Amino acid sequence: MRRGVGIQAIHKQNQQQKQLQNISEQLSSDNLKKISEQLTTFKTNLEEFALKHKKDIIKNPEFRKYFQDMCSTIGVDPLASNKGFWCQVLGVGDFYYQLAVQIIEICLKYRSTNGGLIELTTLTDHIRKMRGKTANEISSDDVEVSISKIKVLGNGYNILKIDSKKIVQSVPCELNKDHTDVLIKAQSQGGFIAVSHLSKMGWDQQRIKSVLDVLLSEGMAWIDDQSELKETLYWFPSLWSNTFES
Amino acid sequence: MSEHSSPSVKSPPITSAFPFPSYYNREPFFTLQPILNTQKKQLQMWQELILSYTRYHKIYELDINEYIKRGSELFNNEKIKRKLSQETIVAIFNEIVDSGYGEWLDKDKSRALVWWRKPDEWASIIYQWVVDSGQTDSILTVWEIQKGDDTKNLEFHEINTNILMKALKSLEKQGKAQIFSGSENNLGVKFFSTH
Repeated sequence: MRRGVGIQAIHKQNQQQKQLQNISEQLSSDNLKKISEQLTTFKTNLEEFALKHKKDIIKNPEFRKYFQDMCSTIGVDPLASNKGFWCQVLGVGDFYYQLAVQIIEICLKYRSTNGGLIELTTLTDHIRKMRGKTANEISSDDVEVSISKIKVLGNGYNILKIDSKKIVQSVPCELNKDHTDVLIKAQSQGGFIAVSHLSKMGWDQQRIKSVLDVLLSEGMAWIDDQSELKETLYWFPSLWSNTFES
Repeated sequence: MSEHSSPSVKSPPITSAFPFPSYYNREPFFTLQPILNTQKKQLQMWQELILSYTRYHKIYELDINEYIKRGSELFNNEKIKRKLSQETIVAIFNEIVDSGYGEWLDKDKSRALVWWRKPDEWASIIYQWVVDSGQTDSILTVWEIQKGDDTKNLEFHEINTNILMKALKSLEKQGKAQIFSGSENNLGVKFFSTH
C-alpha cells in the first residue's frame, strides 16, 4: 500500500514547483533579454543604414521603394506612425503624409469632370506640378504607397487595374466587374464605348443600361451625340492622358 | 452695313491663333450633358473658354446665330467634327448672364453682351486713366474715350458703347463723374477728382 499523502510530501511538492518556476522564469527572462538585445542591435543597424542612406531614401524614389520593400518583408512599417522613430530619423512619415494630402487635393479638384476616377500617372504628373521643381522627386510607386495609407480612412480610395493602366478611384462608389469591364473595353478602343459594343459582348439591354447609367450618374462618363457611328458614345475622362480641364 | 449704329460689333472670327485649352478637343465637350452636376461643370468650362476667347479678340457683343451661320471656331471644332447646338449655346450664355458676366440684348436670345471685364472694372480702369493723365475736372467726349488718339494703346480703346455707358454710369453713382446728355452721338463726361 502506498503511503498516504503526508504533509511533508505536500511541502516537498510545493518546493519542487517553486524551484521549477524559478528556473523557468530565469530562462524566459534570459530569452527576453536576448531577444530585446537582438532587436536593439537590429534597430541600431537599421537606423544606421537609414541614416547613412537618408539622402537617397528621401531624394531617390527608386531607392525609397527598395527600402520600403525591405522594411515590409521584415515586418517593419516606417510609415505606420507619424510620431515614431522613422519620422524623427528620416521624416518619411511626413513625406507620405504630405503626399497623401496632395493626392486628396488633386483628386478633389478634378472630381467634377472625371467622377473621381483618375489615371495614376496623370495624378502623379499633377502632384509633381503642384509640388514644384524644388521638391523631392516622387514616383507613381510613392503615390500608390500613400494611397494604401489613405485607405485606412475608409473605402474612399482604391486603385483599379484597367488593362495596363492603373486608375485611382477617390469616391466611395462600389464598382463591380461589369463597370471595370466597360472601362477596359473603352480603354482598348480610344476612351469611349457605345451600347452596340457591349451588345457584341453578349450583354442584354437591361445589363448594359444599368451599367452605363451608374457610370453616367456618377459623373465618370460623358455622352457624345455627334459621332459618325450614329449612336451615343460614352467617354471616360479618366482614360485620357491629361485631365479634362487643362 | 450696321457699322454706323454699333461700331464695336465685330464679325465672328472663323479661325484664329487663339490658344484653345485642350478640353476644346474633347468630343463630349460639345454635347450638353444630361447629368446635372456634370452639366454644371461643363457650362462653367464653356463660360471660361468664351470669356478668354472674347477677351483675346476684344469681342464685346456677339450674335449667336451669326456665329453659327459662319461656322466660327468658337462653337465649331472642325478637327474633331463636333459643334455646339443653338440650344446649348443659349444654355451657356444663360449661365454667363446668371453669373454676372454678360447680358442678353434681345428677347430671342440671339445677341448678347459679354463682360470679360465687368462694367465696374472698366469704371475703375477708365477713372484711373483720367487721374493719371491729369484730366480730372475737364470734359471728355465718349468718342474721345473710345476712339481718341490718347487711348489708342489702352485696353478700353474701341470699347463697346453699351458697356462704356454702364461704366460711366457706375462712376456717376460713385460721385466721380457726370454725364452730359447732349446730342446722341456727342455725349460728354466730366470727371471729378475725389479729394
